[in-house]
Amino acid sequence: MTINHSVSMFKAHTEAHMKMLEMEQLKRKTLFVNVVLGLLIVPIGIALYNYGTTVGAILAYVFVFATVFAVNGVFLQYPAVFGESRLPMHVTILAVYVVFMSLVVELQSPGVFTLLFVAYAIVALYQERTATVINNVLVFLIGMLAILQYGDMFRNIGVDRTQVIDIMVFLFIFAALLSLTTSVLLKRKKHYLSQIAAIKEDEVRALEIVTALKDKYRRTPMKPEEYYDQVAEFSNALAEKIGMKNVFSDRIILMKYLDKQAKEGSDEAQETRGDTAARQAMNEVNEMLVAPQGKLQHIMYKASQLAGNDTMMASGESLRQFPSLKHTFDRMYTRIIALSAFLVVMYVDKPYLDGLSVKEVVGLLQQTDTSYLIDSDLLTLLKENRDVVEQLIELALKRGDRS
Amino acid sequence: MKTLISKIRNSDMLSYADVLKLKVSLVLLFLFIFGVLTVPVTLFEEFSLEVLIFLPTAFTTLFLFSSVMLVVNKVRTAMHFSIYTFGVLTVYYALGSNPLYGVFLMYVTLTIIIFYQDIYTYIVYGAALTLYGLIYIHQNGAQLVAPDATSVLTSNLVYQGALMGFFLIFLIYFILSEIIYEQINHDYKQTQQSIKKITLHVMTYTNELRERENHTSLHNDENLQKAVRDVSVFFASFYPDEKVDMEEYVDFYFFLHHQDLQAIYREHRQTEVEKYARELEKYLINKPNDLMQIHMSMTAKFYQGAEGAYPNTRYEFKIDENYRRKVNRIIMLACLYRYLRVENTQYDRWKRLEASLSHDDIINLINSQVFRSILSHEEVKFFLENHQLFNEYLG
Repeated sequence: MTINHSVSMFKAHTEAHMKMLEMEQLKRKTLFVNVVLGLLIVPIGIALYNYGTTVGAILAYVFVFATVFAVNGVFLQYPAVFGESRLPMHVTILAVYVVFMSLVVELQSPGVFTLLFVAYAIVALYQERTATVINNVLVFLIGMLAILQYGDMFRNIGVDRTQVIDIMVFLFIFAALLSLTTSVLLKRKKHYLSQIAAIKEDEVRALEIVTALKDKYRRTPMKPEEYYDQVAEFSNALAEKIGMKNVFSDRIILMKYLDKQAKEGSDEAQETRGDTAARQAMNEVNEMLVAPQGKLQHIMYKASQLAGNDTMMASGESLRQFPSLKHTFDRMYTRIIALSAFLVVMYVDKPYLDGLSVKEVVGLLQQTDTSYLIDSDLLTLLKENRDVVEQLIELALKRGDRS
Repeated sequence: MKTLISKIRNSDMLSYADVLKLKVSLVLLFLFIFGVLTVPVTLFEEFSLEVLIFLPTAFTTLFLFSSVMLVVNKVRTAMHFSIYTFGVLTVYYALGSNPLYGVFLMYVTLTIIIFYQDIYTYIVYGAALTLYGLIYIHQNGAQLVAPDATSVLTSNLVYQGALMGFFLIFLIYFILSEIIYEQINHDYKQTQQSIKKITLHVMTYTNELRERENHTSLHNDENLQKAVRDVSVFFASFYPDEKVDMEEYVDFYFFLHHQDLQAIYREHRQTEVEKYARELEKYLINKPNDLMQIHMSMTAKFYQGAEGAYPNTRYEFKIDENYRRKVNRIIMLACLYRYLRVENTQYDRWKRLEASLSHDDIINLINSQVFRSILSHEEVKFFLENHQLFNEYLG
């Protein structure tokens, strides 16, 4: 594994997590959209009835709503059916506009025209990039079409031909403003999601580092077999207490065996054959191994660090701010020391990672959002003088920290 | 205009205050164009003299006041007054010859309020405007439907329902945004706390391991101090106007590593010493502060640890999310208890990571709210019902 590989794995994990977060949010928004649509069925039905619409036409609307609910129901229950596609969302958007456009065409009343704004609001609930684009295009196009094709509905209430143009202008302003709003909102949301995805990967890697360090630090190596033996004894006592057969022992024997295999470098754990269920069960057992650097180590370490955290959270520390080397009221010399100390600490060898050259650090900074991290003037200076800075550090650390 | 467009493009990088400033600038620009293009034309419409004098004057005054507030950086005041200005414009159109314009402008004004993305502003101004709109439609209903319309009442209900629906759906939109944002923020805060603690442990282990190899801890390493000094002096040479001696400042920085900072703040209250110490505290290399957290985050990117595909549970630490079978969850709970009892994961009185948790400590920990991120209620209940067995066999 190279350093570049490590950084690219970091990116790959972060992007995958972002996608998962987006999908989770989409599911929640889908639920909201469907609740709103459900609530709209009754008032729309009453309005159609009052305008004297035929039962057949009303049933057609019911069919469209039912289709939307069915598709979204499948999406919420079995999201894997649709993979990464946003088909349920697109179907819903289309259906919403079909329903509202049909209402405008059928009833041809200026009051019904304002329902287009409601359609816009419903689709806006998705707060999603493609949904926003489609929403803006559709509200504008359908609005224009209604004005041009069914302009009589406005003329009937005293709006003359030139004033119809004013209505188009209103429509344009409406769509333009809301697309601007959503664009700002979406950009910020994406930024937040990327930050949370990155910090999650930071945490997992920090856990890998600290558990590896803990292992180096301990004077006697960890003995997983002691864990298994004691857990086996515990499981016997537990089975006896609740008066049932010991259902744990086979699992514990398997864990002990797999742990031993892993320590000896065998890939048996990876070579599990059988159907998907068997493989999943085996994967789960593999994640239960006490051996260092397993998932369980991370869980246990993180759990141990929650001791005393209730008081830490109550300390009122400001966490909205990202850690930075350039806080707003810092003087330039303070920022300089912060950057210099950072570069030197990165350069020094650590028990878990060889020191990183100034070039490597600058390379990473170029791939990172540094706008909140480092003073932009200092970063430019650093990029222009990376060799000089590298040499200064190398000369000062003559003792050979980077041997 | 170019700056404005570039700011919109990079709005994700701006602070909340800067984004608000950008939005107010856009609304005022839009108001100016809209006002200049439409108000003079409407002067020829059938308004009463009072309306013709009062409303355009109020519009101009409010617009100018909002602009001044923006210039003097009172951005929130400017935001409120920009909404009032739009409100005046809406009333002006509503009193004009065609009430349909009034209705449409209500939507545009609601859109402006939505644009600011502030839930409280939206609830107060949005609700007030919607209420005004409902009353307005009720009073002017006859002019909003065609003369041959079958039912004025139904038509008005549609107008009112649409306005009300628009307001309520965008209210849901705001609530949804707030829920998502709060969740992200909470998750971020929790993770940052966790990383801060891990950073402290990494620093402790690193220094202990360095000492075992006869190296001093990082902040006491004279060569490291020299390296920081030389690089700082080099960067400082590009800023000859700064009044501070950089070498002295670096010495002060390393001096702070050995001091009780709270005592310094008390002794030197409101002096230059306190100011400099507070600025530098964030960047000391023996504390899990900004600098060391960034260092942790950067080294984590380069760290070539255990590799693996991306499972959906990669960032999930709850036992029941990771282990679906009940049998497995009980085994995991037993392993976890044993780990907490025997592994040195806590600081002792000499600030070394050489202490573990007692049975009572673990009961308190498992009972705490923060531990719900690891164990579900079901697992906590199981543990409490059998805690003596845990203590007897795994302690």
